[in-house]
Amino acid sequence: MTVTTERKPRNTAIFAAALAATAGVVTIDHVVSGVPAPVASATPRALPAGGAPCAAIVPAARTDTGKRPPPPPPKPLPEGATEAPDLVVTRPAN
Amino acid sequence: MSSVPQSTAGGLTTVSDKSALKVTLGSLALGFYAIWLAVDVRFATLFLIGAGLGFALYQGSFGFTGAWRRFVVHKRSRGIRAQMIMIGVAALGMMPLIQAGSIGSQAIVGAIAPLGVSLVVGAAMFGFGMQLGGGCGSGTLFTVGGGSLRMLATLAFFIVGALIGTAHLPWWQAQPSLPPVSLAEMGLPGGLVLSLSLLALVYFVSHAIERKAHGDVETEPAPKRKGWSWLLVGPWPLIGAGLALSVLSIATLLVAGHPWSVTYGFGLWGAKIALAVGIPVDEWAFWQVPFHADALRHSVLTNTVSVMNFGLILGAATAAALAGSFAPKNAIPFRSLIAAILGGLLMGYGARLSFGCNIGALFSGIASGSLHGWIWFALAFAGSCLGVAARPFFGLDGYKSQKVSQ
Repeated sequence: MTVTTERKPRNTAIFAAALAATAGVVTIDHVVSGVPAPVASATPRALPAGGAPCAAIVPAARTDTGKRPPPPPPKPLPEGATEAPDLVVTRPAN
Repeated sequence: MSSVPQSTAGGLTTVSDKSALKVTLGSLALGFYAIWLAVDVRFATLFLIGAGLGFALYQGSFGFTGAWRRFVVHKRSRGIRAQMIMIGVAALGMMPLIQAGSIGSQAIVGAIAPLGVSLVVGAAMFGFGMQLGGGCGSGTLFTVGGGSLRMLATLAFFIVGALIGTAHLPWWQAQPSLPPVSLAEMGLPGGLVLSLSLLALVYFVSHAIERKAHGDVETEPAPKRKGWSWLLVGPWPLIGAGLALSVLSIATLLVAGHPWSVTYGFGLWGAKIALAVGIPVDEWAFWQVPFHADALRHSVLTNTVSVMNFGLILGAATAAALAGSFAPKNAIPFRSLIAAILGGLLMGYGARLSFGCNIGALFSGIASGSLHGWIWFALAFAGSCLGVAARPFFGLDGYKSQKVSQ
């Protein structure tokens, strides 16, 4: 059995052009919008610039002795939706 | 373009598309490096995880739309059974992590959503739309990556639908709703056992239906190529692709802090485009929620879902180039194009109402132990059955098709 494929140089050229255009738009958005400022924190392991809001929920604190605190207790079951992007509650900021 | 035979094994000639491969691999490398520089290594890692997901989706042709249609039309359940295994394996890894709440400094949350009118309506709408659109959230992305222009139309209107959904979501969320229910409320072991039992039930019921209809049950075919070349050039067995998706979804949870999601990115892209052309979406209630406002205000490269979606498209394109099947079809019948547009709109709107698509709500929801994932599954499947019935109106195959295809 032989796999036959339709191969047109134009296909790759179109795809490359679409990629380049998308990259251009994303670059403009990145330059215009920028990344969130790093969260001011005394923790040595600060949230990464642009860290997802989900990652900002429980930043690790570190004691002066350098020992890690015990892991936080399991999160209680949410009363509303969780912070997964699809599930963030729709409540306008005051 | 240079396209040369790469290998011949077992009578099967592999033709990789070298120029397309150079473009996709170059873009992946450049994207990883650029995101690392522009944001950080965590987001660059998510980009690569997305690429892995796209690669696995393409090589396994792992889609929900075709598998569900094939089951209801032809009573063949191989796709659905692979999906149940995939979700079960993911649940084994994800539910304990979600129950723990964090790993080190990384908070971990599950896809656990309320049970309300918006979930019911949105899931059914999504299921109907995916049969018209020809793919679900992930399916749309990986087929776009493989060069499908029709799915590009679906994606464009998916984005429009998702944006409209953000405009209406506050109203939908004001409708009657019950709080989220996690099966882990009965304890992690009990929740896991219940989740796996329900997945096994779907597996064996679909297995029994297939056996009753055909007298036999399809099994996974052996790789068509000798050796390990099939890992690169495909096709992968469905279960193999599903297991790869399970592992990568657990990796997503660990790195992103939330389960794999696809369609949130579509709404965000739509909102950014709308804002750029002067539509004040930032005044909409949805986009004033701090989480969404931050996403809208900052670079799309700082949005976990978007970065993974970019990687997913490129991963699928890489797989298509390796398989020698990156071949856009330019001619799209008019009625099929209308179906793609309608399907995209319905999926985008439905996904926003129902907290995600087959990935964000069904896969991630069930693997998180959330009851809403099961309700989403039931309603989307019902909508999908109606969607199959509607396909002939758009010149697509429906229930009367005799051709068995994956």
